[in-house]
Amino acid sequence: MIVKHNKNEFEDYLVDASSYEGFADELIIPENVDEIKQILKEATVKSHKITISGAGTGLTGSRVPLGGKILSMERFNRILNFDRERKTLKVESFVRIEEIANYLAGSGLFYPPNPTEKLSTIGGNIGNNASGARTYKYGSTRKYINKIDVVLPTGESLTIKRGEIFANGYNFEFCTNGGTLISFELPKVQMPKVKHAAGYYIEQNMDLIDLFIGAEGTLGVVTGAELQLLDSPEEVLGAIVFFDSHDGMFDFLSEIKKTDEIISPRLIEFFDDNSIMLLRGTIPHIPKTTVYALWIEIETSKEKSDETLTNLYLFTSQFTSLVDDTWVALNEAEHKRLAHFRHELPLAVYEKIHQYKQQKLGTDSAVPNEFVKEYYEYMVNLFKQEQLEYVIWGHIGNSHFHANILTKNEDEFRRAKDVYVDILRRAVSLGGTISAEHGIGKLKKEYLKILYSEEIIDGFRKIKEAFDSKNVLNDGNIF
Amino acid sequence: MNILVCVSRVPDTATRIIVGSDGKSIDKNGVKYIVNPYDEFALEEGLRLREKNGGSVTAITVGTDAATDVLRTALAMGVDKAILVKGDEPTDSYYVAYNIAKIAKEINPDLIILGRQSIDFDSFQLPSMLAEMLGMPSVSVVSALKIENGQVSAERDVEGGKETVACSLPCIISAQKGLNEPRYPKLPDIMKAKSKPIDTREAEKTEPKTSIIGMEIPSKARAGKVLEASDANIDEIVRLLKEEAKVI
Repeated sequence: MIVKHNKNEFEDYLVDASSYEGFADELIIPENVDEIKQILKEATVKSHKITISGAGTGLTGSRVPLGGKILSMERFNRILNFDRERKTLKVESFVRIEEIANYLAGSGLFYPPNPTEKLSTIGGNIGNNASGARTYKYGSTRKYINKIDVVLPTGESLTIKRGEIFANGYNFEFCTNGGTLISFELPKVQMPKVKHAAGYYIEQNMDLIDLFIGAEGTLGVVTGAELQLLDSPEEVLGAIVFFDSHDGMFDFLSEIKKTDEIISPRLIEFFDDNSIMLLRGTIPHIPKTTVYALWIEIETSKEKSDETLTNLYLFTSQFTSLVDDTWVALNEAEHKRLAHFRHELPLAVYEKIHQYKQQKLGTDSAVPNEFVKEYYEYMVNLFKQEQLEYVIWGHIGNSHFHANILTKNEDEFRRAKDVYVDILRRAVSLGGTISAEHGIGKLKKEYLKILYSEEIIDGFRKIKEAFDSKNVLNDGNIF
Repeated sequence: MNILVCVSRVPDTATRIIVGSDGKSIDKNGVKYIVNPYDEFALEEGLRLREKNGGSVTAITVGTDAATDVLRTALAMGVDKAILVKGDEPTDSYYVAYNIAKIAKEINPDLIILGRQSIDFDSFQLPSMLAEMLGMPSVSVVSALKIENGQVSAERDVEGGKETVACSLPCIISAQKGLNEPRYPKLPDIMKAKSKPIDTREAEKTEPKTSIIGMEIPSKARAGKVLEASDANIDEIVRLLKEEAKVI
């Protein structure tokens, strides 16, 4: 175990990718589960705060400490076991998404969740129920976690295997590995029926493992997990489709979801006109009359590859006169070039924010599919009305947008914040969520109240108390 | 302008390379192949020159039937013709250069462009060998190219700066990253490329000038050592740097 007391030695651990900054007394880097047990047990006895630290790629300040000790998981970085037969991979919690992808390359198997941030760790992904572009077809992290090893705030360990511990209606009662009984009641929440990562996951008769996935590290420290893998598709066809009209793109989107048998994309990512304008700076060749672009990926086989190309061409030609400009990727290197299109964007936006010296305001809201166009138009109208500079991209397949508002001064920032809240309220009133993938952390707590009543949030708090009566672990996240 | 672009089929950069059981080649199981990334700059430059000056671009590769796929990619990017010199899978640069030179003599290109190196064997030899065999000037590792009135001006990256080299046509140019931003193959062009003819020739066997004796994966970086923070450890650090790391 390594302990550092000098702030100079752990400054990097006081921030995450949101640039929100915290403070702490010391940094602890445990090297095995027993050390974590001892650290947590002592924290509970002495009532001092522990904040779990992953890769620091989060966007809501969840790993940012607000006093107490930082518990960095960085030594839990080993891939433990690859079971080809069962298609599972056992990893420690600091293994990064990129390492998992590299490890499985060429094995014929893959781990479906693919958050844009490839340096994020599996522990962080579990804490956040992370999603990615492929969530459109495959769902979020939740579906691919078979088992987790947890150390609870009391220092006891709890192994949760999917399919073993269920709630009885809205009541949980189970024992830790050491035999301590834990019981609590779940609030009766109806979660939005969209991609969702705000507050605890609650369902009648739910599996205990699902409560820990997306709990933002408030209930226990995940030290390892068994991941479920899937067979890799034989071939993947990637494409950037350019649209010369607003309606053309939204019609393409609603129709492609109905063509399941002909073209069944595994991801659909959106770039608005302002994204296109920013990208022109680094990526030449974008057709001049482009209004919007979509990045899609379709799984196919060697045998069907030609047919898929033809189908995509015929289908796309109904919605855009730029069909002949569609960019295509057929191998990994070409896919990486298309993904570059997506990854360049946040960088270009950060550069602008830096230039304007203002805080970033970015939405993470999602709405039910039938409202995707209405919701998009609602946002754009508000931005135009308030004369705010904005860039919108996102996982449009899941009707999930990242609308980034770029403000140049305090006054603009204040107006932008009102617009931001308005947009979140609109999402909730359409049956959507305020956060589809980034989570609540410390930065979005006030917005959770738009989605849930005080009573429900109190219900969440009771769950937290059942595991962490002294409120020592990841204090400030969610609540 | 008649342009010949040489392309090579190489393992995808994302592939995890495993040495095969013979210890001299890679295990091809599950390996996907791509156009050598430096050759994409060569293809793009050829296409741009054609768009500006007219003429035609021919892509050529030496290899087995499997190499057809990189020619299809070249056709999808927009080359006019594709030639497969069919033979053994190349491991010896001389064999490749000899067979390309043979075709070049037949089609008399004004300009031959190729990537600075292929990322599988990294031999760097092809441009110079071709130049020698064809008696043409060659400029390697070019990051900017201008051709006006038959005069070539090529910019090269050199240590700490750039140098500009002039020569006349016909010549050989090897492409460096930064020469251009290769275009993305477009959907209708990929579909059309599938049915375009590929001119297949028989490769001539040559006496190998080099042969592979063995192949191994580089060993992983050594694991670091963490010493507890105390003054007493300074002697230990000095000892380790001297005796183990052998850097002082």
